[in-house]
Amino acid sequence: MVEVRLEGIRKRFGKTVAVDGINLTVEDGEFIVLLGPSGCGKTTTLRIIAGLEKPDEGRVLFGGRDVTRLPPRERNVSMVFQSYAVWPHMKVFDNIAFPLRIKGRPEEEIRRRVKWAAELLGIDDLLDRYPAQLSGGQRQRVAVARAIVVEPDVMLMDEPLSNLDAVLRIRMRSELKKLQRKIGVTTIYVTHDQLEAMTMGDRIAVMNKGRIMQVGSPEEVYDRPANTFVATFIGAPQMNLIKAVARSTGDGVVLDAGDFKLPAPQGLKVDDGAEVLVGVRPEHFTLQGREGIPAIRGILDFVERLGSDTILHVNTGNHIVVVKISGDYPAQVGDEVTVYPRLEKVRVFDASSGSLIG
Amino acid sequence: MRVERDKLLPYILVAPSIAYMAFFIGYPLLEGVRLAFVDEKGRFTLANIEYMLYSVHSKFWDALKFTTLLAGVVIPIEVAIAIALAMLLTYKFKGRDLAVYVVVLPLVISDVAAGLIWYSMLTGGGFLNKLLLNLGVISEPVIFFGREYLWREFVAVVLAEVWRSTAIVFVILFAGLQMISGELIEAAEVFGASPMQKLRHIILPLLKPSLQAALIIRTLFAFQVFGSVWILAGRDIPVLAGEAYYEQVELHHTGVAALYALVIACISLFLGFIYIKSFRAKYLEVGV
Repeated sequence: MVEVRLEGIRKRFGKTVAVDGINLTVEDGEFIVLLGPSGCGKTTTLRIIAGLEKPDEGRVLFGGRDVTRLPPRERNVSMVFQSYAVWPHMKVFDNIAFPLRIKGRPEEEIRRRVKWAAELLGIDDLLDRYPAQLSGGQRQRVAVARAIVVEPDVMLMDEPLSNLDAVLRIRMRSELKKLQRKIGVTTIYVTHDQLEAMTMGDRIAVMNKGRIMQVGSPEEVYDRPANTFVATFIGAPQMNLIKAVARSTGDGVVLDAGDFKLPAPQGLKVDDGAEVLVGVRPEHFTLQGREGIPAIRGILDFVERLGSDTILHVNTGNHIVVVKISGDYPAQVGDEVTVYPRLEKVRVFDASSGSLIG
Repeated sequence: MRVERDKLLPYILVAPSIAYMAFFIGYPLLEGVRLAFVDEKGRFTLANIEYMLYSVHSKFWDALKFTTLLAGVVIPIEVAIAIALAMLLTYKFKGRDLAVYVVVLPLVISDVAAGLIWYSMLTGGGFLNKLLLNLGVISEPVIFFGREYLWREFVAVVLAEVWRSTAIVFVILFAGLQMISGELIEAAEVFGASPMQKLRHIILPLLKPSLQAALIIRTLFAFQVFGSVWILAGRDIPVLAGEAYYEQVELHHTGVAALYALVIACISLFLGFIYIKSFRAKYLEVGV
């Protein structure tokens, strides 16, 4: 188990820049998630860590050892592939045993370790089957068992849950996380699913267009997104980004959205008249007004009833504000509604750069 | 009525194929047996088989020996070259498509033409000898052809055959290799396999179905080898198909020629059976 450090990694495929200067340190034993939309370079980054791709620039360090030019087999990594990559011509036992056999471990140790891994993943009764006789979920467990059996320094996972059905995916989420905690292996996990990232990662690295937008704990990236990309990529429904103009007044800065005005967060430094984006998450609205909290009034444009929550699309005139409230809400499209933002949760982004400014 | 029609449908659908096979394979096969074992007066006879096996004019045993020898030498060489080429050409590099075309090109050249090409290359005043003479490697031309140089002729035939028909093995293995998901091979790399271990434990086992197909096709062709041998060595190196031709065209022994054809068919059938038995990919046969 080691610390993984990426220094200035760049990778180009033809004219496309897949990874554009990534610096990242993954601590020993940490579970880090690379999160981003497809084509953001997260899988390429993972493959560079595995040694399946060579970066054009930059270095990969495992516990201070430069492994940039080493082939995968000299890195002591293991990987769970998106397609699982379970070898169809080998029985489950031989699949899991393969990494140990290649390393020439004694047969007795191989049997013991395969049994250990298979029991940990609840597939010890399937060892004598071929992959074609397994379900997708079982195949996935074989892939994970194979990945942990060698006690790798680093475990890499490339969207391992994306081919499972919804119920199984949610169950495997917690199982994988528990497993990782138990064996304490440094894990780098690639996904485009923000829920997976939030529930599994000790830290999340949000990527876009080959760059890392923000690295932080799930709470940090949710609560203080570094820019509008992170703000809208994490959280569902998306964070509202409302165009507004900052105006200095006697008692501080006011964010004027036209249809309504909000007081700016404490200590916001912004020029008078600057264009900003006001970010409020749908779940950070209430229906009860309080002293000093500005009301946002509008006409109900659309209602999504999810049972546990209700999502209201409120048309304030120039903006559509999406509001998520707990439980059912007896309102019809066309009704007039008033909602109140939780001011301590309001974030402000620079309109042109998209960066968080307050 | 409906149920009966559904039951009949499969038979109706395969009927054209069965008719085709009966007419173009079944009938000639029966006719071949008739020619070999029935004389002009319509009586059963073993005269043809006696002639083939025991007559001093028959070269059956030599033909069997050389055909088998040729197959035994040519096929392993071709499979090795084809696997190497197929693996090389799965890497993406500039000019890869062109390289694939070049490798496949001999496929469109007939065996007689291939024989002629190699004859002109290897003959006394041919390309190879001129090259070696001019380079000063040899002072006299190397003679490849003529009865006293039987084994050199054999080498020439092997060269021509390998050059001509590696392509068919390559095409099948290349296609098979592309069917293997890249992640299966990458997984082996990640889990510590060296290039040789990758080949042995992952690529070759997964290539087994393609190897089986390639070997069956190539072996059947090997036992029908004729044109290139006829051009390069004549009857110095007798082969089964060549003897069939000779008996029919030169000696008008139609029954003997038919017998040769049957022998080739039986050998092919037997070897095909062996290949299917020994190259079974068990993992493809398990029930889900």
